[in-house]
Amino acid sequence: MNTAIIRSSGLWTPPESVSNDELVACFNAWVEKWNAENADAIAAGELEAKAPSSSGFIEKASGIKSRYTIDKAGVLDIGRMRPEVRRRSDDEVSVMAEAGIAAARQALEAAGRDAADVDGVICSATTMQRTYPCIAIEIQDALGIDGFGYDMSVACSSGTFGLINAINSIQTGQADSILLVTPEITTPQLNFRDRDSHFIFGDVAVALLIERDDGQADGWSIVNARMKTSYSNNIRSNFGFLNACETPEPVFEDRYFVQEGRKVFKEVCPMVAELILDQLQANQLTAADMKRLWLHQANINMNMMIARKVYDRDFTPDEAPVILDEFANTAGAGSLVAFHRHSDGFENGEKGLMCSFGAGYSIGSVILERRAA
Amino acid sequence: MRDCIIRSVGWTVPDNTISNKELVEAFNAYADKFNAENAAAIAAGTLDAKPHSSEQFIEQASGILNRHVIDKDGLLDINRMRPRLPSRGKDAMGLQAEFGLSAAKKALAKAGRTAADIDGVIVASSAQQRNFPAVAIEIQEALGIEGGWAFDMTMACASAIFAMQQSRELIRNGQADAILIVCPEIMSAINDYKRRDVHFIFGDAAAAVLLEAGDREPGGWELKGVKLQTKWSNALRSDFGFMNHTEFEDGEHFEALVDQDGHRVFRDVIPMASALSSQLISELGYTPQDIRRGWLHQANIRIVQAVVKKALEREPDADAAPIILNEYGNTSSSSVLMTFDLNSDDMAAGERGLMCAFGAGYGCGAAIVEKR
Repeated sequence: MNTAIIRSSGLWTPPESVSNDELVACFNAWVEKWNAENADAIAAGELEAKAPSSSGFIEKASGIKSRYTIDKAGVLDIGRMRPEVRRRSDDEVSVMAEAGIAAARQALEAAGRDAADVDGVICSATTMQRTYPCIAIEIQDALGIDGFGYDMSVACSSGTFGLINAINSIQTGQADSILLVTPEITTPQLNFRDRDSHFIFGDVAVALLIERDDGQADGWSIVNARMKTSYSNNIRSNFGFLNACETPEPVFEDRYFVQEGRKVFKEVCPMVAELILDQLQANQLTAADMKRLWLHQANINMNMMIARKVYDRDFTPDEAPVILDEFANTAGAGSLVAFHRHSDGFENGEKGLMCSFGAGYSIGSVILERRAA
Repeated sequence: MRDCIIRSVGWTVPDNTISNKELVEAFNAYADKFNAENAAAIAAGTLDAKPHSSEQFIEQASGILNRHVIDKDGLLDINRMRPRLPSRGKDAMGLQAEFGLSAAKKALAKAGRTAADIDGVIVASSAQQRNFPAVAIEIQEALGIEGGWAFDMTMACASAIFAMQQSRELIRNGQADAILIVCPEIMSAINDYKRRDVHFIFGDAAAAVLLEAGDREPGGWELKGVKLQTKWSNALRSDFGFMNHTEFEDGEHFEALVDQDGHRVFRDVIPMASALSSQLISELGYTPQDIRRGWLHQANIRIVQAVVKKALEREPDADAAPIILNEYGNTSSSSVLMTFDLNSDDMAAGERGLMCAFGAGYGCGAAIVEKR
């Protein structure tokens, strides 16, 4: 069996970012307008007045301070409150592929590789921009890679599950080099008029280059990888190709992201900690062997709870780095972005653990060992 | 590394069928209505009149005589021309998961396996019904598979072969002992029944294949090798997706259904699929004569026969190139599994066959199996 190595990573962010204050100012202006327009019905008790949001509430509930978006003006326009994207022709690269290509190019450059070195592209993200052709094939074509590609989805664990598929392809000799691309264009999937969820997501694309170990140093070898899923309706997005055939056809608000946040918190945190501890034990390791945890970035309180359970002690910010203040929740990309941003300071042989969790429920957990140059 | 085998295939189609005659009658009535309503624009040359379809045209172009669909009435209603599927609450099982589950249960029953034997579920199909949770996880739950994993993947009509490759790696690598691949294809919701050149193509079907480590018990089909290739093309496209509402204004009508340039697909796919199959055959040390049969994706009778003729170097008769699209239409990723299941009982241990699927992407997957 071959050994797989994460050779490099790349990250793309949209040029524009929205702060909590900006988001809240728009949301509250919309709330005021909505409440005024529906004043009679609210007074008559037929409608409930909408409550305003606040930056303090958002930061306390989530740890999020800002998020990147592909279109700030559309998101902050109270007559629209969703990104506005120019419709592109079939001959232009799609938004999702473009984001993925930028991250992939960075990963290739960081490793000093070019298209000829890569055998396959996996595009793994919460959802794809179109039914077909696959986004992975569009990325493959733009990079000039001769080989294969496919798309896969498992919500917030898309990045780690994609990584695990790439690892298997390399370990079994099916490929020598795979680009995993996780472009998460989440802001079009968000209901910016819903106080409970309007602040949660941000747009980003991250890429990892995974190669067969040829003895060359610099990278991260894979010690062990695990996937687990267990069905839950507590995080859901009903948008899909059957909507137009459904009778009655669902209104758009019923197709967006919704969640039962408290239930998710209560159910997912113990599940994740238990899986990590079990995985460590199965590999004759302990939490003390993990210099860092690159956790999925959904909510700072979840990460604190999970890291506390895994380490079984107080831990430093360096041991469980947080990026959601800047990025918000970037769905399947979160733990990979945390890894990309915070993988410095490892000596040869030191280990860390990348773990995602989210809708499904799904958990993907990968133990990495630093192979220093 | 241990062998990976196909232990069983299960599949299901809806009871409702639509013959070419019924489909053409509805289409032509729709076209007449459209042309009457738009007579002025058509006369002024600003709009093209919709031409009639015909049974003969469909049969000649594709070989398709019939298709099975989940909802017949909505499709043949000239004021709707798309399926009518009752909305379900979130606590009810999703339609796509339910469809896939019936195929999955058949595959398990045939193999004499239970949920406890399965480590992972992959839903591999043209599109998933919702963004999340993954349809695969819903099927995993419904089957009662505990402690396992599941995910969704898409590679259009070649999804099944791509998932077989992923599964083969997981099994050979010791990551899993048994994986269930489920291909629930509700193509009637993706197809455009208002377009003469595509309205006849697709049918609904769900298929499932159980892959296992070869050391568990004799029988089954060894998956000797799989080869995948993708190459970008706009010739087959479906732009429906989560960004559509950012691209259009409220109330603006946008139907992002299937769109294809059939002639280009025909020209591009035959050399791609036959070359990939030939490469796999020779990489495994075989000659075309070592492969008795080709189970091909049932897109079009002429493509099936042309690929088998090239890859297996013989006349594509019923033994070498079985056809099921006359009855089922193109059922996307499920078709290669259905063709295999319907046309493999007569083969003896040691005999080999080629599975080959191709479609939008372009994506192409080939597999060689040998009966044990």
